[in-house]
Order: sequence, then structure tokens, then C-alpha cells
Amino acid sequence: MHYPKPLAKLVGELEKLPGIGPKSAQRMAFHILRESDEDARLLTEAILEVKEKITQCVVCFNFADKETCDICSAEKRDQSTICVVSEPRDVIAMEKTNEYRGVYHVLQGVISPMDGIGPEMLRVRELQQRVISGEVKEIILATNPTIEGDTTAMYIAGILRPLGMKVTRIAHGMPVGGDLDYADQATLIRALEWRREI
Amino acid sequence: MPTYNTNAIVLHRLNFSETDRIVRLYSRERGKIAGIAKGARKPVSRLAGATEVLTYGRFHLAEGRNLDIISQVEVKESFPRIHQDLYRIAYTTYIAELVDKMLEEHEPNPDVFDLMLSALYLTERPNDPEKIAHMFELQFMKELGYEPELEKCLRCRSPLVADELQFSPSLGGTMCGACGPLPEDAVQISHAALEAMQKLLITEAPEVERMEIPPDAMDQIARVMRWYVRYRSERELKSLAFLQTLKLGTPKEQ
Ligand SMILES: [Zn+2]
Ligand SMILES: [Zn+2]
Repeated sequence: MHYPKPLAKLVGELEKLPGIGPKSAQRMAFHILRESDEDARLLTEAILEVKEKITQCVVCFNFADKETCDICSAEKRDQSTICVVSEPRDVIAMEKTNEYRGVYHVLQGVISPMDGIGPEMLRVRELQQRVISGEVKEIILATNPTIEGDTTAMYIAGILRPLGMKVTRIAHGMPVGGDLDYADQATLIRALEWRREI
Repeated sequence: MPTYNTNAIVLHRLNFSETDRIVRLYSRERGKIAGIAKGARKPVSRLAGATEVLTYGRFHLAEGRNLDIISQVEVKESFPRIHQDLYRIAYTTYIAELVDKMLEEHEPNPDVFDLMLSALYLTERPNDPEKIAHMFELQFMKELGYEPELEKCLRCRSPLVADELQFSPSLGGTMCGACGPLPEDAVQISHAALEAMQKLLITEAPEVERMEIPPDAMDQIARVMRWYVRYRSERELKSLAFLQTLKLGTPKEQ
């Protein structure tokens, strides 16, 4: 492809973004080129500001723009319930439900033995510290129902339960709108196991 | 695009884009294959559960330029009990990593495939996952042509009856402690551990289930096999670190 140099540079940078192939990168670059100088300036500023101002919450390791994030510092959140997730985007997903009133702990990954990722590389020790030093009553494990998510949940349950904690895991089973006939064996087994009376 | 069907076990899985996964399979008919499962990260996708690590199924693929494309999977077994136990996960992940790291792509070996599948089924049943993993290690090494000498001394060729026995990964087996010089990598091994290894090397599934291995013999087998596999594979397998973490500090969960 023969782009003028600055355009090639922009396309090249955009291609590095997750899920962006050469075609999408080209489309985005052309769009940026066509938009007003003001819009382009806002975009660059937003990118720089994010890099400058967003850090990790010292309590839960979620994204934050001050020492503790908005959730950890909100008075109406129940500090005695901690929902453990693997990534900041999982916090966002949980928050969208508007159902959960506790706080979070972001592990920043999952245990994946085959990839050499062990518990010592995640924020597991910090979770243990939080539990020991705080007044935590319940830990809700909200890792994905994958082999890595299962491993992580079982490992954490194993180290927290001796501390006298109620440790729960979010239910897994049929997706809403899913089709029983389409569900695989593992999903159905879990759906059966985690069934409840109606 | 030519298509094909094959019986395979998922060895490894990598999220590729927002919706797709790259999956490494070990197939009975074609050996190790890399495939892409489009849409497998969406929870409503039928491929989501089917491309989970250790799933055994009949895979329908289309040959692609770089990666073959997984179009459909009939899951034969997803090993739910393995997924509910940390130790079972840890040992079977280790088995998957062994196969993944020590075999080349597109080199079928039905005996290794059957061995792996049988190790998974045995671990799904109420057997000690560590015992099954050592059975797999030994028989897998044998399939690759690395069968360790467990019957005779490597030096004097006489039966292993001496009080003190040593196992050397670099020499490829066992020797009397007195038959020096001892190689640097030699580790002492008890008769109980050696006997268990001899059995694990040749025993078929039903008998392995009945085998009892005393804990200290099991620890020795673990140490010897760790060094032996490391010597043969010329690397330290990543999943061993997690096994070590578990052994050191986590209460066994049931
Ligand atoms: Zn926070
Ligand atoms: Zn000898």
C-alpha cells in the first residue's frame, strides 16, 4: 500500500490495537484525516491523559484516577463483601447490572499453569492481606467458567476458606436466550449442579 | 477448501481477537494441529465449551492457509470432574503441556493419543491424579524412544538388588550405588519407587487403578521424573511451577 509517510505511520499504529486489521486501520486513519483539527486534538489529548492520569487503585487494583477508586471510596458500598474478578473490564460488566453493592478485587489475570502464570503473579497476596486486615464477611469469586477461571477460583477458595470466610462463586450454566439443544455437556452439567428451586 | 474430520483433544487455547480463539489440538489421525475457532469467545457459541482445554471430541475442520478453521465439534467428553479439582487440573494440564511441547505438528502417533486419552479418563475417575501423571510420563517417554532403564544396572548390567540405587537422567536409567563413577545428575531412588516405576511403565489402565504407591515413593518418582523429562525435553515445563505451588501450600480440596 502506498500511503504518504505520516499516514502510513498512523495506519501502522492503529493496526497495533486489538482486533484491528489492516482494513479497519485504514478506514480509521482516513476518518481521522477527514475530521476537524479540533476532533483530532481531542482524541490525542484523551489518549495522553489516560496514560498520564489513570493508575491502579491501591485497595482493589481497579483503574483509578486517584489513590483509591470511586467504588472503594464510595460510602454506600458494602466493604464487607468483595467480588473477585480477573480484569478491570469485569468490574465494568458487573457494575452495569446495577445489582451489586459490595466492592471488588481485581486479580489482573488468571492462573494459567501452562502459560507459566501462577498465583504469585496475580494480586492474590494483596487479597489475602485485605481479608486478614479488614472486616470481610463474604468473598464472591467471579472468574470465568474456563479451566483458568476454575483453577483461579478453587485456588483462592482454598487459601481464604481457612480464614473463616464465606466464599461463594457466581453461578454458571445456560446463557439467557440460549438454546438447551445447543448447550455443550460441560455447561449442562454445571447448569444442573447449580440448579435452584422455583 | 478441503475439509476433514478428526478425533482430537484440546491442548492449548489462546484468545485471538474479540471473538476468536486459536486452538492447538492433538488429533489421533493428524497429530498436532493449530486451528482457529471463530466466534468461540461468545458465550452463546457452540464452540466456546468445545474448545476448552482437555476437551475430547470429533472436530470438523477446513484446511486454511495458516490455520485450519474449526467449523464444528461433537464433544465426546469434557471431563467435568477434572475441572472441579485443582490437583486434577494441574496434573492433566501438565500432561497436555508435555504433548504440546514434545511433539511436532502433523506427526500422528495413535498410541500416544490413546495413552493421553486414557490418562484423562483415569484422572476423571477417583484415582490419584499424580499416579496417573507418572504413568503417562513413563509410557510417553517410552513411545518417544526414551524408555528409561529400570530393570538392570546401566553399568554392570546385573539386576538391581543393591541396597543403594541411583537414577541418572543423562545416563537414562538406574544403576547400583556402588557401580561408580556416579554421574553428577544421579539421585538416590528407593526399591519401592523403582518397583512402582517398573509397573507404571508397562501397566494397562485397570491395573494402574488398583496400584497403591506409598507417599515417599511417590515423592521420589516425582523428583526423578521431573529431572528425566527436563533432560529429555531440554526445558522446564511451565505447568510444573504451579504443581509445586500447590504441593507447598494449598490444602487439598474436595
Ligand atoms: Zn478500588
Ligand atoms: Zn551395577
